[in-house]
Amino acid sequence: MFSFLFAIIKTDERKLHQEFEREAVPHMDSLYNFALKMTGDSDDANDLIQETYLKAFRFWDKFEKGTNCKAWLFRIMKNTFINTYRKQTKEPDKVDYEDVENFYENIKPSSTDSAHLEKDIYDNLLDDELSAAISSLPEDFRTVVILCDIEGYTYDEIADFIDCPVGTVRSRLHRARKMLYTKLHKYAADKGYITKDEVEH
Amino acid sequence: MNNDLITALADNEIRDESQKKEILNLIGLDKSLAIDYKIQMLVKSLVREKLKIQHTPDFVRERILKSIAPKEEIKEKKRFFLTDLFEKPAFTFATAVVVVLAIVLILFNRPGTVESKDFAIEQMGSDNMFVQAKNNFKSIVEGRLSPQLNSANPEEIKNFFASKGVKYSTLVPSFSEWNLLGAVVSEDKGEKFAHHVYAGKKGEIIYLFQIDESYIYSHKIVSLSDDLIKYLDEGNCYTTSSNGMVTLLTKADNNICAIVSNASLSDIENNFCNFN
Repeated sequence: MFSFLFAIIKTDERKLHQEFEREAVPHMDSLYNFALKMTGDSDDANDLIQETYLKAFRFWDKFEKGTNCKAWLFRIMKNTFINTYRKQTKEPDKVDYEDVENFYENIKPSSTDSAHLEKDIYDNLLDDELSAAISSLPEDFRTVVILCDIEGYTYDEIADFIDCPVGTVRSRLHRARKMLYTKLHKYAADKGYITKDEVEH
Repeated sequence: MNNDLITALADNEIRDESQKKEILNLIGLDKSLAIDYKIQMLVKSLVREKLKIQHTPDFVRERILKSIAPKEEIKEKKRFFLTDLFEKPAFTFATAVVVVLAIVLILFNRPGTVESKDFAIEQMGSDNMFVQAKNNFKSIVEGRLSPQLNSANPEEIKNFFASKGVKYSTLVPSFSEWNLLGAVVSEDKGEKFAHHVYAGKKGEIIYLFQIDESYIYSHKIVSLSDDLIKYLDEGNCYTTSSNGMVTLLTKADNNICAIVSNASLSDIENNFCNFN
């Protein structure tokens, strides 16, 4: 009798494991990239993705079948990042939207020279410089850039991942890219890809 | 017009053709909107082109798959040896007794270091001693963490720990092949912790972080996985090695010690397993 019950439990466990391998494991690379960009450190990214998968597996029975598994995994990762890795820094990366607004106002299109928008100028920038610029964005803004421009998700998917309206995704992306542009422009000027006259112009 | 719509246009997220045309028309008429659109397109293409998707490292993937593998599979593999052994008719009762006795003798006479399960995969979180020790070692090697006291004198280092508020008794052993370099006292949740460093002639760095066991058992300020604590409590010495970095955990007196080094695994085991 008991062996029969154990056999049923074991079969259920094996079934859950197979389902998890089939549905959750294929998203590992996407999540790894997100972890890498969020933490900015490969060791932390390794820990973050492992912790995310262990949690996901532990709560796999709570995952609603037929819903977006990748979005579910992203939410677990984001919460794990907030609860564990962000706590390691003395000052939590809270977005002061007023600061962002001020920053945003300072880079109005009217103050931008269209000659600085040629892609050739920025082609010499190193991947590391671009990664550093992304890492320096406030967390909410960094998240949407990673999900849209690196991972290639649609606004609907991103809204689902980060649990906010599509309008918010659009607005954060708009501002995040402008902030990134300012940082990249500064890098290009520091490296001499944009001449001093052009910068002062 | 809401400028965010320019972003939506750049991302091909506007499905209504008439709205798309209207936005493009406005961009053609208004220079500031045109620049805004160019910024969006420029940054998007730079990020897309320069930052490629990276694959999960194989060792991380394997570690994850191993940690979620059903326990029964592991058990089945373990059972294979014993069940088959005793099911074979050639093994009489006497033979079975000899085998059991041999196993008992091996268990009672095993050295301090035994082949252990991979506890490393269970060590997670910023308060984890294993994680902290590895991160601190990296900081030392990269020059981001330097000793608060430079001394080669064990007694001076012990006194330094006590004077800086470390509440537990510390162990600072001496070794013939490595010299003491110095020590650091860290603070976490109001408690002070002892760390010290040795250096060898061949460029080896040996970092030792020690805490009183009560910080894990009752204070819960520092953590280790339950399995690893049990393993150390049983008098074992846990070692793991990856990327040229050896990590050893052991219990000495009432202290739990984490040693991280670029020295060889055998040197670290010989010197630190049962060093008290």
